[in-house]
Amino acid sequence: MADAALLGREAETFARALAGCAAGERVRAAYARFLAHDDAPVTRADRLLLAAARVHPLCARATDAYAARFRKGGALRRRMVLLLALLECAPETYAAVDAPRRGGAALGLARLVWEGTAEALLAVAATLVLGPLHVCALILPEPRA
Amino acid sequence: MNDPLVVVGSGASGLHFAVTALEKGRRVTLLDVGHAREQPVLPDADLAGVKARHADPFAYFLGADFGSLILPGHDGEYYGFPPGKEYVFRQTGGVTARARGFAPLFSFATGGLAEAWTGGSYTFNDADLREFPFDFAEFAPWYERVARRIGVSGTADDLAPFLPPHDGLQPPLDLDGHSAALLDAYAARRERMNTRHGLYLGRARSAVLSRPLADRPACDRLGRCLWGCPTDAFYTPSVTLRALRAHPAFTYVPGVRVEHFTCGDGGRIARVHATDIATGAARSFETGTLVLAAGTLCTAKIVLDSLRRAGAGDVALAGLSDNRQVMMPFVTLSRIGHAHEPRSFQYHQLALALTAEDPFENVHGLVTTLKTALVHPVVQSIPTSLGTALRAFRDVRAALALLNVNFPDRRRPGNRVTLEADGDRTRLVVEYAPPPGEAERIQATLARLRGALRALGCIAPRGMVHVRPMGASVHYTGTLPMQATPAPFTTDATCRVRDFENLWVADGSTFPALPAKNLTFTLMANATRIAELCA
Repeated sequence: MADAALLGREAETFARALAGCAAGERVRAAYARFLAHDDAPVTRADRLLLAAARVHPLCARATDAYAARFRKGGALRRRMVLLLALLECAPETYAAVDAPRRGGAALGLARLVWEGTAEALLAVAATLVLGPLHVCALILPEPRA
Repeated sequence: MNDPLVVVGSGASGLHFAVTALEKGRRVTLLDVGHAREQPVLPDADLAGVKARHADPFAYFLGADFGSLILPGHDGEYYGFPPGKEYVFRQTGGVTARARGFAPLFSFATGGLAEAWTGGSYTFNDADLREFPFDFAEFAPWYERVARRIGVSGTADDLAPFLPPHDGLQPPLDLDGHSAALLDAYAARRERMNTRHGLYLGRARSAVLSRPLADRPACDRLGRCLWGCPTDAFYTPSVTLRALRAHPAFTYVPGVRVEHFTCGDGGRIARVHATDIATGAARSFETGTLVLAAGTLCTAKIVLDSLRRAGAGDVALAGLSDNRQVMMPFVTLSRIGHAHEPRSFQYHQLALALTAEDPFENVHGLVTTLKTALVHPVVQSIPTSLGTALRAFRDVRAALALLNVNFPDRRRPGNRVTLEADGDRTRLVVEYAPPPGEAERIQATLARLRGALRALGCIAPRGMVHVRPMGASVHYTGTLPMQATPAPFTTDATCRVRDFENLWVADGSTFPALPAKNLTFTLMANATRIAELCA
């Protein structure tokens, strides 16, 4: 079980990566409250991805881009979806998730192309770095508790 | 129907039977488990207002125990079940089921399953009613009566051949921008859509007020439909129950689960036996006429338990039917980059029909444009990082929609409900197998719909289609069918069970066929018809 301070920092980093906003006290508390009772298994591969994602919001984005393809049901995605759900409900942060992006169809399509390109580059970079480590984490035996 | 007139179940069927019987001057006792809805919070706030002002927004949207949170590995649904409607599916512990090929859902809520419906109030046409003992012309007055009672908005349009109009409609609500764009695109290509694709698009017929009705206001577009309309502009049966409880001839008995009935001299049902939910104590009620409206599966259990106790041996109620539902998300390209409209009616504003050679096999769909649903269930289904998915989602949100496709079903003898021993109680056994060739039919239909959507300027990504498990639509029918030829465990044209002189069934059990439509409106109309004819 991670301690509350670590989970708080994790929530802040993931909130920046997801929505470009601070998580805030209310979200951090709810995040920790859920994880305190979450009994979903966390494997060594999950711990590796979580550690990489905690470093910086950009690392969180890249690691999530990797997890979206190779560890979709893992702990990192689970925590990031949890955080997204909390951000979209909290009074301090819901607008960052919920508010429409304006600008019309042309700008919308341009943003989609840019996002797609950036995602592809991030995913390639993350795969080159995290792929070998993930494979090692999968094939090496888990240490005994 | 003799006194005392006892109704079991406060769902749409039971309440519209009761209200009609009361209108005829009868006294009615209604027995119900009755899990109740909580009082709406912040009734004047729109969705953003709830997020901004609610003391515990996480509990409101995700549940106090996060039960409405949808995490990776979920079953493909795009909506988490709202915490405010948890009472709809809360169980009592006394009804259990073992199912094969079917995922049964039970409701013990005041108002029943329709407390969680999406308001689709669709008429059955003559093709749909082919196996019923009446046609649309005979049945239309009951539709009209219920529509005036509950408030249904809609209009006669291209869907009129499939959803015959009646005189009880209020004008439709103003369309949201996305729905309007789709309807415009259809109007510009109407002939091609009708002749080449066999697709007809029109306004939904919805149980939502566009004009005030009695003490209920018109919809003011708070965008909170999914979490429970705080103003009752959107109809749920508990609205009717609340009104009935003030009626001097109406006795409401909540907190009891009816288990079985017993007959007196002459084979007439004399008493109804129930369990007090709070204490577990047995209670019984004298009855001169019993009307079962507990929902198809619970009604079947009451009948089967009663037969078993009377020594009738193992009986099977055959013909269980349900609509297969497929959820098909799509993107309307011309709406990309537009702002979504959180202040709008949240459920479907458009409906469609896709024709088949046999009109009973027509497929019907409900088009829900995405407005105020929670973001996280949709965003996680996009195959990118969540940050990218969220930003892309915000750009395309006003372009996203969900087509909920309903397929018809027919009674088949192998689809049945029986009982088995479960300790000193009994358990329902539900067996269901889809019709042969169902998967191929679904794929062929989805291919046609994809083509039709393309013609309207929409893209439906293949990987995001979700075929819901049988049982998920909760349109259960067919186990005590109305039929002209007398046979055991069938009902006559007034829905009287032929095996008992004073037993009527007012829920979906009596439907001899299930067209591809929401059936709640027809359930209410049929219950009204039964009461008017027999009470």
